[in-house]
Amino acid sequence: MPSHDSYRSISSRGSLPVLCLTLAIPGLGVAAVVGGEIAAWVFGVLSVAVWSALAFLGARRVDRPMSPGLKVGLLAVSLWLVGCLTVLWGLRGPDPLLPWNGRLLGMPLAMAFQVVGVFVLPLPILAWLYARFFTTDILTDEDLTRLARLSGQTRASSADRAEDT
Amino acid sequence: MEALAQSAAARPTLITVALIYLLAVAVVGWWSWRRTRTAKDFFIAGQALGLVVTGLATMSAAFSGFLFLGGPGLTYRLGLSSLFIVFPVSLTGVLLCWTVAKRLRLLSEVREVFTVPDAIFMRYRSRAAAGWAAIAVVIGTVGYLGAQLLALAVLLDSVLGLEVHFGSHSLAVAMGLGLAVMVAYAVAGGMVAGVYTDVFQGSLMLVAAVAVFYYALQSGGGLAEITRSISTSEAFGSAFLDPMGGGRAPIFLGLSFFFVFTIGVLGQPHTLHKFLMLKDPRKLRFLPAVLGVSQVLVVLIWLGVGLAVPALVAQGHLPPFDQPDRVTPVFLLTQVPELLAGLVFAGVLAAIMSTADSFVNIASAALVRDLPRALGKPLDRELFWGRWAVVLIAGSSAVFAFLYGDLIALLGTFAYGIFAAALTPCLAVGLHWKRAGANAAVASLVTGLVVALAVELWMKQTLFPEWPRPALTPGVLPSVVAMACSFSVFLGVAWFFPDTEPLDPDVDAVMSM
Repeated sequence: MPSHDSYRSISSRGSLPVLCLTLAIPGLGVAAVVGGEIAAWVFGVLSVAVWSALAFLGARRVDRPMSPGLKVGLLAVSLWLVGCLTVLWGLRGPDPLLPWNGRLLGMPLAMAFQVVGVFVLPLPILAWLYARFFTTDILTDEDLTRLARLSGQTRASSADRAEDT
Repeated sequence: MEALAQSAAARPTLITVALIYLLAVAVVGWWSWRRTRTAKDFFIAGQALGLVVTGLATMSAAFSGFLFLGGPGLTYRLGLSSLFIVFPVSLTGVLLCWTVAKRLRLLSEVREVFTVPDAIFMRYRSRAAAGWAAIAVVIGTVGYLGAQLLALAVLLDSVLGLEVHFGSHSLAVAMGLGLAVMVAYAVAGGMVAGVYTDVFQGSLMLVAAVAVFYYALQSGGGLAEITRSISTSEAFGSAFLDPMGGGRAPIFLGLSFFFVFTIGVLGQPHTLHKFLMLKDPRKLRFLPAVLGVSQVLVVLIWLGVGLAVPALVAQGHLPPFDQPDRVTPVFLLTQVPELLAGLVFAGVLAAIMSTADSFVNIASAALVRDLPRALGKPLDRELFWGRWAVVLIAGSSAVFAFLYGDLIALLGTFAYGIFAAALTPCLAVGLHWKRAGANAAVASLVTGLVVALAVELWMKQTLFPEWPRPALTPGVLPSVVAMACSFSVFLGVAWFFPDTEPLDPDVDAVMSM
């Protein structure tokens, strides 16, 4: 089980995502106020940054030890999201079907890529990857034993306080 | 549309299948209700649910009428930019489990946590924070329940053919009918009944979604024909297929949907509440997979019907829709075999009812349990007042849905935004960052709630037409502004005025795990 010091160090590491949030959220607000196409894309990228910061914040205790899967996974997801936005941007224009003339599964290729490739298929795969890599050791038996002990102490001290009053 | 309504009422198979299905749901509900013995049973289903049950119940609570009726309706109006709402569904499951569900579930391991305001009270030791959270839950519920009631009314109106008898008042009649059924269901049932019926219909939703997706593609002539019909039609054009709006919708709209629905998912009490019911917190590691896969399958309805109906309209097989919320019922009545249509209708109806039941339970708990406790005056007869609270909340929701006067999905988005703006910062960040104290939580709760309501009402108000409209960039949702404000306030207050009091050892341990 990690020592108290290691808890403190993990806790302080949590400040980095919070710092990212502190910078990203106002930036996102400014982009929304400014308007226009470039601001829209800044807004989109900052949304992904906020998402990633929150994910890191939640994942910081999953890092014992900080698994390569976690790092690679988070990077992959961030890239995937940015990639999706890029692909969707690439499909823009007067006729979104024009950039590709081929067909896949009976659909125009651009549509097939957008709908099946980007939207449908990666999601369960990603969900599985997350489940496999990211939540390893999310909680251990030692964690739960420690909580049960602390919970018992809290109840006992509450009962003591009730008796005192 | 009138002819469609008549044909619906005259389809005995459809009505029979729907009735049998609803009877099965009622039996499951009755069986579950008999197992409700304690307050813990009532509020969090005895904290005894397994992985799959929790996952399906969470998925059912999150989707229901918003997805089945609201989604295709929104796509019909906006085009593919509406897909940004469902685009991140598998990612949100992971974020939920990591960032909020784990902390919430562990808090309930060491303290008595039945509701989200309970958790906020335990974390911040602040009655004010818990009280404001309860207010946010009640206000958001009025909007979200309104969306469910509107979906229920559209469904009943279509299936029972009320338009034939009541003309332009048919939606109001259907709303009254739906309100009566919903109140009866919610007053009689508890959370256990809601959860197990959620599982039953969640499983059916998965099967129905895939089947409806298949018929959607087939009826439009395959995806190639669907996209060709849409892009060459005058009514829709290629802009419909442009996920960035293509001039049909502002570019910021899709990205606003993405932001609100990706981040705001961390502040949705009806979803978070389900995590408190999980028996073994270690199972959380597998929950993203269950949630992600089931949600991805169910959103096929949004995609399939949302694409097929515009194509059918473009091909002249269906008339254009003045009310896009009727897209799904009309599609089911005209393009899907009667047996499947009956199952889907009943499934959607039951899903709406159980989601509404969950909301009503959460909101009535906020009104009669969380709020009085926050004020230091707990009520003696919580169950008695809880039932009256159900009537009050359901009635307010129906009135609000009528006054709002817009699509189901937009009403749902408004309510989603209220929860997101008010609750997300103090849960998603506050459950991890010990520096944040009660002052940051209260400030962000009040900011999120007030800004979300004020901007939305300002944009919608017609009483003073001479008033200028808020100078928002086209497409930016009020909830985006409110979320940015509440996050900024939370982070700013926590940085400049940190909590100096040490946390209780058990809460400290929960926040370190």
